[in-house]
Amino acid sequence: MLLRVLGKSLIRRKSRIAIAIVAVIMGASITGALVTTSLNIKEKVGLEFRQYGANILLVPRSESIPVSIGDVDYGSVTEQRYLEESDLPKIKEISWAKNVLGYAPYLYSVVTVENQKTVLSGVWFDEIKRISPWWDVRGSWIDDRNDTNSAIIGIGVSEILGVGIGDAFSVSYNDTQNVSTHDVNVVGIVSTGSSEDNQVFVTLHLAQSLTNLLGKVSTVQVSALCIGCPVEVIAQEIEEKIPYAQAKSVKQMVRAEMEILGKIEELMLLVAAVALLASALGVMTTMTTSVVERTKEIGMMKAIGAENKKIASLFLLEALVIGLIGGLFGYVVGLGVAQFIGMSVFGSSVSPRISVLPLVLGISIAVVVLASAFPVRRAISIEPAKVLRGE
Amino acid sequence: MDYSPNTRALDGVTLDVKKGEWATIMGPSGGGKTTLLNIIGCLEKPTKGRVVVEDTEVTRLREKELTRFRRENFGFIFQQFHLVSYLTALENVMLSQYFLYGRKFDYDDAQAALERVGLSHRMDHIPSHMSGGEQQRVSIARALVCEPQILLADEPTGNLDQKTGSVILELLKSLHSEGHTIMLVTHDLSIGKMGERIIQLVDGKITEDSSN
Repeated sequence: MLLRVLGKSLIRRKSRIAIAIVAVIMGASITGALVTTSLNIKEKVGLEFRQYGANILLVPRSESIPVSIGDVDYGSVTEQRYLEESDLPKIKEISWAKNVLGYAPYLYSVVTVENQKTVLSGVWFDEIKRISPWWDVRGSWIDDRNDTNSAIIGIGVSEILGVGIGDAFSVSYNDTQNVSTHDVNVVGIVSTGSSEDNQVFVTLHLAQSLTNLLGKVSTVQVSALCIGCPVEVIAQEIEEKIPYAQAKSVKQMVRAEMEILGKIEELMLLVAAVALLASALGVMTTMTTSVVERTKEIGMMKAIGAENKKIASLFLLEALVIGLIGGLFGYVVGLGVAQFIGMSVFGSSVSPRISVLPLVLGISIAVVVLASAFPVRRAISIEPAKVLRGE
Repeated sequence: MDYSPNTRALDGVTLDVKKGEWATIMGPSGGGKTTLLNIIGCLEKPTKGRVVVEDTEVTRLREKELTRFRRENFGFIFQQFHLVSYLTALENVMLSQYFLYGRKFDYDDAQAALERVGLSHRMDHIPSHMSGGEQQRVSIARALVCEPQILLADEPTGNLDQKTGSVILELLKSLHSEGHTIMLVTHDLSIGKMGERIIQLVDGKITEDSSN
């Protein structure tokens, strides 16, 4: 019976109900749009930030040895240490493993090329490609990790040595006892606008062979997806897995990333709150008008024995229907608004998130039910005798 | 019964209505007739005094208990009918059942109540598609469907022409003969004479209490 009364009452006052639903659609669509945009943009911003490089740098812990002769203190020397290549898979064993986008080991050494001292970096090019997508490589990448014949040189090295793609040169490594020399062909020239421009890159495997540091790496750049995950915690977990390593989060960059995302979120929260408040006011006005219009009906119902809870449930169910319909349509409209915001403000499209639907529905229903509290209170406080007397 | 410090709607009213009796309350406008009916029907509480219905002192009941007592013991018939405009005749009758029985209301009983007032052919019509007399008969069916002991009628024919009013009064007569206690408010002496007792209320005081 309650549903019958509810249904007929909604149909009879369809224009008023439509106004309330429109009010909810407005609030729900803006909320849905902002949540959808926020989720998409956060991900996009996160990806964009990660394109600036890794956000964790793994280095071996160094120990300083104090040097003194007699009473004369000569400061300290730092022992050259390396990370073990075989320990690197442990990075993917941490609890936040799914947030680790990739890691790229580097083995640095100073070599001689065409009588010029330069830095040789042994790397995994496939990982570099993944976590450092801003590397602008002319020519080709080196896809085979065991390639011992190819090199990619920085644009600075290319200019100084007068070497280009297709040219070959010798790389000499001189340790205290031996000199190792190896010929490589230039397959690509890299330009990053940074220190990479002045380095020679070969596979990690070749660099280790040349320097006689098999299985060793100097540093590892780790790119962690830092949306909803603290980079410091990831760094700490990596340190726990590889205790002799020190994982440094690139704090400044992470902080800036978090701050920008935080500001976007705050702004969106504020806009959504204002939109929902406006919706609540719209619904409250409509529901209050509805109560005023139905005063005689409510009075009669109370006179013939309707309890307050039955009167309240009539209006709250009405609010529930308004919230559900408004929330559903609001979600759909919100997708369009999200696309518009994405394209016009951030210059990228926004993909729909079905997970936003229950959130929008829940918020819409909560707002409508809260907005109905005052009208419902007014309805249950109606005194039947006064109403029936015509007061 | 005071509405404000300067307005006393009822003053020193003492009344005893027997079970199955038809008592008509008469008197000039503003004399307190409707207030008396509302107090008896638990729609209003007197500022002073006691009201006892069926051995229950209703003036001591809390609001929730009053609501329950009201729906279990009284049937109301209003001058303005007070039907829900968007519900059919049958649904208006079922509404009363719903408030008393919740979901366990009986469709057949609601139909029977409408048949009893001669409206079985108008069950699916909404009030605006019915005449005043038909609407009042729906209102009587709504009052009867839960089989209350006491029927309270406030100017039940006040909005009807004489012919239609007679139909309603005949209906009330038959209900009275079935054993219902009826308390009816009217200005019309001819209607008042239909009952067993006339109570005259003037300025909130009983000035006459006579048997027909």
